[in-house]
Amino acid sequence: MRKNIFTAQLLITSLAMVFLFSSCLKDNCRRTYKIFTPVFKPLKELRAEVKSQPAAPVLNTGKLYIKGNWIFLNEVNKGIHVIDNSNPAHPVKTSFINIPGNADIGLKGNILYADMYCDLLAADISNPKNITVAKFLTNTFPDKSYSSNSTNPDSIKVLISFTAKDTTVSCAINPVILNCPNCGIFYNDVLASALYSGSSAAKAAGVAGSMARFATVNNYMYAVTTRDMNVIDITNSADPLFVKKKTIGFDIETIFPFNNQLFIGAGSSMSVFNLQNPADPTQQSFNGHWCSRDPVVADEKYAYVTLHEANGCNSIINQLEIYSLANPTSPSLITQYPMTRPMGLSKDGDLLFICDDGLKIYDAKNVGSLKLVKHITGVNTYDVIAYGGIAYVVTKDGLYQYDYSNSSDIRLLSKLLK
Amino acid sequence: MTFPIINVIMRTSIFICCLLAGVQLLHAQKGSAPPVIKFRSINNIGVLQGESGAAFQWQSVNGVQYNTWFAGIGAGMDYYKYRGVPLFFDVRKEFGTTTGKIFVYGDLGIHFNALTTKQKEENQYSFVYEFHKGLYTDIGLGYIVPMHASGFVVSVGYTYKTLNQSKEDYTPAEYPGPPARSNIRYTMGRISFKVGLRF
Repeated sequence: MRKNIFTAQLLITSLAMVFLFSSCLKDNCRRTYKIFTPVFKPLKELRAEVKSQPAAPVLNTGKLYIKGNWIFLNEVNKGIHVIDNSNPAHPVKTSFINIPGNADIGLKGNILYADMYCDLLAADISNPKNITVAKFLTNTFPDKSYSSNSTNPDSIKVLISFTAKDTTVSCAINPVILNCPNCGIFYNDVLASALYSGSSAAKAAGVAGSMARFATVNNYMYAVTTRDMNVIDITNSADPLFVKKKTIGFDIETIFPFNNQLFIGAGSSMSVFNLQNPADPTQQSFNGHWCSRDPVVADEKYAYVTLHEANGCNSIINQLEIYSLANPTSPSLITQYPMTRPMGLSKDGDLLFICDDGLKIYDAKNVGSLKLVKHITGVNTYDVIAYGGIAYVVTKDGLYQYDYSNSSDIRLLSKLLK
Repeated sequence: MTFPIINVIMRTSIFICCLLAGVQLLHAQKGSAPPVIKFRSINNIGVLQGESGAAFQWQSVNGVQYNTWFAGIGAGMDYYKYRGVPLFFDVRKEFGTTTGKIFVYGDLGIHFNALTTKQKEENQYSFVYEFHKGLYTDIGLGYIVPMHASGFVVSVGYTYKTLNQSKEDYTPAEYPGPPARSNIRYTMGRISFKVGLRF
């Protein structure tokens, strides 16, 4: 009898459990992410901010440009540090040119060219400590402005930053495109310029690195975006004139001028444009490669390309590729060298400098058998310019200079840190 | 409008019945036996029923029994929605005589993910995704039918588990803004029915 009571109580209690907890039988999914809301500023206000200021800390190094005893070092999205390098063992920051949205630098004579969001700025740097604005070429990079078709600076707005806010929503109602919570509130290629650093220029005007998007060759400047090449006439340096824009591919990253050609590095290719008609560069060759980030430099015989893995590529290629330029219309890959995660590179004579796990310096007399001359570790390198016996190395914490005039005794000359 | 009120009244009435049943069970105990300490292993298979349907489970709980109290460590497999391995601390209290005992139990621990290939493929379009351990709990009551030195065990309870996931999704080239990172939290409440053997 007692057992029957127990059994009945157990049954009732079991049923009670089902009823009591039936409302708790729920599966729930909540997604937490940051909503980024764009912040805009009128172009007119941004232009008013361009001026020389006292020297500022080096916080977020970008592209590099060298002219004579002067070094122009980009502070990503902020402007350019002007560094007196009369004594490379003791470089001195002399001033800071405030240029909102700046990422790239070019030079011709005493005119400095810099991108300022959608504008191309031409500034007279005869007195590097006190620059004067010569001209704004309005909306040269329209993909960085809100009003992409306007040439009226009063009506152009520029995306300058985002405000971020944590948000939690049900997974079912989250409005995503391809699982991208913030897609739909961004538009245009607004961050492209800030993502890559390096500088470029023809040797007549100065020297730039391998990661640049600007190249000045004689009376023309070529500025690449992720898809296009902008051709700008700088015959009158202080009065740049927009010539044309041509679409040259996708995921374009870098430009390197050499021997009346432009070497274009892209996410999945290297292409070469000739400058027989400098107002209208024409493509003469194309070489595809695995999706990666790839700056390129060249000499008379070879093009040197470093590939490194990157987000959005879903590949893990990290290597140096060397192409023969014996046939200019069809460069051929002749050899590859595995690397750790190579970035910028530079070549001077037989020495090849590669920013990879520090700085690696190779004897490249025989490209089929590179010899490692020196490996400098403990430095987070980004780009390098090897010029006149000095390697100018942009690192995460500043600018390093190495004397390689004696290749068997490469020495650190100076560090310009934060 | 009246349905929710009836629901509350019904649940409350049933809950009171359970409490009374529990009190009656306690009074059914006669006297007190001398303290007994022994090792116990309780091995169950069962069914989980929730909003996403029914799924299989199995567990093994091993520990020490002291008189009518038991404490041990359990582990098993939970196939509900996102397959996982619960690892938990288990406490039980028995009531009743040698002819049959009612017990209440409570589990608290961690739910480790052990996703199937198909479940992982749901995230194949994400650039990065990572699952992290979550919480596991179970509370309920059961009945033991003694069989010599062992016993047949049946139990019913409410079990709750969570799973966390961090993701980074591809951002289309037309929208190159900050990366699409998010954290997702899955919570699953189920009824648990288990049968097994106790040694």
